[in-house]
Amino acid sequence: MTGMNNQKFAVAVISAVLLSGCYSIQVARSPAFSRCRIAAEEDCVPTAHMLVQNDGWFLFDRLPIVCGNANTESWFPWTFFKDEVSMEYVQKAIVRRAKMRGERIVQMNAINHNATLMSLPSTQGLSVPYLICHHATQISVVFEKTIDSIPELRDAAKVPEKPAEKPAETTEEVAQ
Amino acid sequence: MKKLALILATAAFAGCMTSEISRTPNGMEGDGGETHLLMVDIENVGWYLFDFIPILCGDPHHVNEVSSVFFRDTLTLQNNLDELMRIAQREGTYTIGSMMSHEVSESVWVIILSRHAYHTSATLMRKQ
Repeated sequence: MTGMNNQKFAVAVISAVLLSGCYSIQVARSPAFSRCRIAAEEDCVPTAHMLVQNDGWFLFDRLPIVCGNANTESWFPWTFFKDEVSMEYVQKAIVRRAKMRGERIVQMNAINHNATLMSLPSTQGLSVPYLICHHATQISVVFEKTIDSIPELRDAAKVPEKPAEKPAETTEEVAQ
Repeated sequence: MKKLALILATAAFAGCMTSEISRTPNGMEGDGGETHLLMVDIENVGWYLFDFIPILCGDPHHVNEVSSVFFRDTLTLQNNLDELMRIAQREGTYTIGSMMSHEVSESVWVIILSRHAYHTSATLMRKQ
């Protein structure tokens, strides 16, 4: 009987850990991407594409139970009873990176997703709306740098100077 | 027989990496004087045990083929970006617009078996 209780407790702990929120950052970059241009951004080159996401579990759709810890300096991956699944928290990592590397942020898009129909094992497949809800926020961006800030590109973009042509006489000058 | 059907069904719905391209007929002018040529959506799908152990994921080297890799997590933003760049090079377009990525997750039996899909979409343009 004690063994059975221990098993249930282990399953409950493992489920709680696996079900909990998660804050993740993914960055992708490639030389081919850096050779492209972003539309309407003539003087810049893209440096990286980034996707930041956070998710968490809420009771009655409002009360945060456990969320991913958006504070990257903390070693603990979760926060309890604190709502960190918001665009404000997710955006922090993006702004921090941009400031640190002197990059500009373009093509910023956000997606918020809420799952409110959670079917639990004890409800035998029947979904109970707004009992336990899952919220997720994702923001994707493209980072870019100005050509002037990259020495190799700045030198390559330099056009050899032409001798200055004498400007044509204006009608006013002719009149004088 | 049931086991065989289950295995075949799993194989049929296994992870897969696909790219869908929508071409704009005769191009379409954008805001910055570019011509919109293609809209691309890249999707990489994978099945996970307990939400983090990869079982079957799409093979980034065999896009648009029913090809999966076992026990290797290929659902990364890098694989999607690399595929987008392959398409851009193939089409000779080097201007990108409306680029975004997102992840879609679905779970079966709470989180015992879950399906994740990474999407990256963009408009590929050519400078006029």
